[in-house]
Amino acid sequence: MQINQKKKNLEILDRLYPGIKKLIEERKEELQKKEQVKIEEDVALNGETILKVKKDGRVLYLAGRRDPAGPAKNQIGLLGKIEATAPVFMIGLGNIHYLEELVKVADKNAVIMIYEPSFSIFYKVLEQVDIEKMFQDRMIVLCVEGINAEGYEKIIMQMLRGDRVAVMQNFILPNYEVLFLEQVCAFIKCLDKLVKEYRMEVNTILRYTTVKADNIFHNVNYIRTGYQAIQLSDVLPLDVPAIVVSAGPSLNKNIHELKKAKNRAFIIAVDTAIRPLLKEGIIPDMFAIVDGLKPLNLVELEACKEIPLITTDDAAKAVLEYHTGKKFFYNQGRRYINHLYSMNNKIYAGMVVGGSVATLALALSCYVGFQTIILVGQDFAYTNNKSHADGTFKEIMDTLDTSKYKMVEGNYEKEVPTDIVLNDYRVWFEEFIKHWRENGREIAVINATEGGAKIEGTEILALKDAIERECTKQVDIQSCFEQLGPVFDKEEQERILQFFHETPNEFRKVFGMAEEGEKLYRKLKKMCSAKNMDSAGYEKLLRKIKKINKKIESSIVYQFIEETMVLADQIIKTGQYREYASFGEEGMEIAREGIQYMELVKQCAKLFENLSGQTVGVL
Amino acid sequence: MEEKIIQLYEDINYIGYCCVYGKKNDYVKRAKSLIPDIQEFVTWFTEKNQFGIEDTLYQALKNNMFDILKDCIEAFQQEDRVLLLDALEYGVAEYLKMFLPENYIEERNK
Repeated sequence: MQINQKKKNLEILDRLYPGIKKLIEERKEELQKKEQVKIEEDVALNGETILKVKKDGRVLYLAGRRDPAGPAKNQIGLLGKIEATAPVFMIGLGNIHYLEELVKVADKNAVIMIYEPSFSIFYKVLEQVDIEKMFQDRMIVLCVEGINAEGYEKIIMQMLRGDRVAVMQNFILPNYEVLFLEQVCAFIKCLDKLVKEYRMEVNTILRYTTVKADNIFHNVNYIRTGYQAIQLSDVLPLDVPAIVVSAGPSLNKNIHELKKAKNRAFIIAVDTAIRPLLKEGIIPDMFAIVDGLKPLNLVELEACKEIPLITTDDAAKAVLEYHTGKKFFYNQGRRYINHLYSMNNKIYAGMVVGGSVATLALALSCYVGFQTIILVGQDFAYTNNKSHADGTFKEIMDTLDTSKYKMVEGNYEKEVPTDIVLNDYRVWFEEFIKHWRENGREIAVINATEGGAKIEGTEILALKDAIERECTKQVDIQSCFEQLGPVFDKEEQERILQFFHETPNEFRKVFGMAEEGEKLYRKLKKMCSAKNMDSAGYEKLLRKIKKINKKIESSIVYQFIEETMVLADQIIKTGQYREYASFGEEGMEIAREGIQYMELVKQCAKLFENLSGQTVGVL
Repeated sequence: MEEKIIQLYEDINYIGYCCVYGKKNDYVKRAKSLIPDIQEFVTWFTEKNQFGIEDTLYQALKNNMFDILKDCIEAFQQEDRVLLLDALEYGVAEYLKMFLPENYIEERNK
């Protein structure tokens, strides 16, 4: 009977995870030998078969002999209410009562991940349980060490998306932390890391958004008087290569070669590469900066002031203020700024640029129309155990201990150390190049980074050879820039100025609407706390609330407020997963969150009224 | 003896609570501190049938108690908190319950 149950379970698992049955059969012996555990059966007093594990001379039970289910009930009871779509992480399958209790109490839409660190236990459990009955029609993700556990980080990340961290639950079956300490620790560390990353992201957004708005209100005037990126395709010679200079550690090896490429290519550098380039006597044709928190001293050099700059509306205001040359921007989807173009019947071109200066520089080169792109200093790795080239953040950069770092294939070395962020950007480069070609755009990308990680889709070539082969035509890039005029003429710029002056008033209007909204929510609260709730009145009030919310959201300045209110978003989002027993209860919660929300809108509107009043309002 | 029985019952519950709610892995260590009290209770129970229980039943209860002790010993040797918690909470504690004042548990859970 046990064999039949196992067979049936394997069929079901194969339906859920195609190919898993074959994988189990193939790896079964190897995994059981590797784990060096013996799974034995015992019989509980109630006749139920329970498991015990023999490992390293010890025998540990996975369920009690008197009441196998009792501790499971306690553990699951401890979790409290498991919200809809809550991610639940369970380590261990050796006592099936835990899963039984969990599915009894968890909302149907909760997503359960079971990580079983021992293949041997998993294989034994297949004889005992009916997977079909256990899983029912729920979303249960099963990761078994040695079979499919390699990808669990990505699955956990998916499960925690949105704001699910707030409703997440996790527990470990007892004795697993003793028997499989390494695997359990690795899983918990991974979970902890991803939760921290999520929280850091929220905190970063929170910390950064007021800085962002401040940058935008200072920089927006440069958009009024400046240029947009796509203008470059009208004036730059596209039959020479674009050389994208990043500040990876390998830059030091071949930076001097770039002298030969001056006026034979379009040289665009990331902000961090400016210092080493200028030190070598090489003035790039353009440089890129995107970071809103970048320190000025990185580019605070006289020679840098006039180099044309490609940047973002929320880049560090101090840098844009210091810089006096031509500034180029692109459409980042910001309503307030897009309005400058739409009010003047102009198109503001956007680009898919990734999230870094290097990805921006590559993207710009492609969008402008260059057909050959040479990458320099694009390590995406800690070549020679350094993060950046010497002369960037320090004259001599520190050497790091990269012995525990992720290793990837190198251009010249078999493997090089990297980290998640760098590797993600490397993958972005690969996917961007691939996507560009798949859409019929012929580009040749030469990776002349003499070190670092391999980038698929690029030709590896020494910079000296790349310049010799590709930089054969002489051009005057500076005069190309001189041909360009700003996007907006005098009359258009004047119109934009008037729009800027109106900005503080726009925030005042939003403040007023938020006050109105708050009054409506308070009315709702009062209505819902009454004994006999007027349901027709309730619906009428909800419609009014919806209307005022829509009015607020349609304001041209709302995006500033929305981006600053990450925390508010968290309040609202977490609330939406809860279920309520009655309209009254639901209405009270809507009112409570709505009042909080409107208070935050008012706070932000006031903040930005003051900020815009001191910046765009007085231009 | 009643006071000691109540105390032991509470102690067993408490260490179980710490194990689950406190998420601590020191159950075996905490249980070790209860050994003298458990020994005292077991001795008191198994010494003689002073409870007016029918003899066959008393013998069965005694044998079961020895089984529980066997599991406790094994659990202490292996440092197995699953087996130990099971033996204490669903073994020893069930015996203790027989001697708790009437309605003790209902009052306690209120």
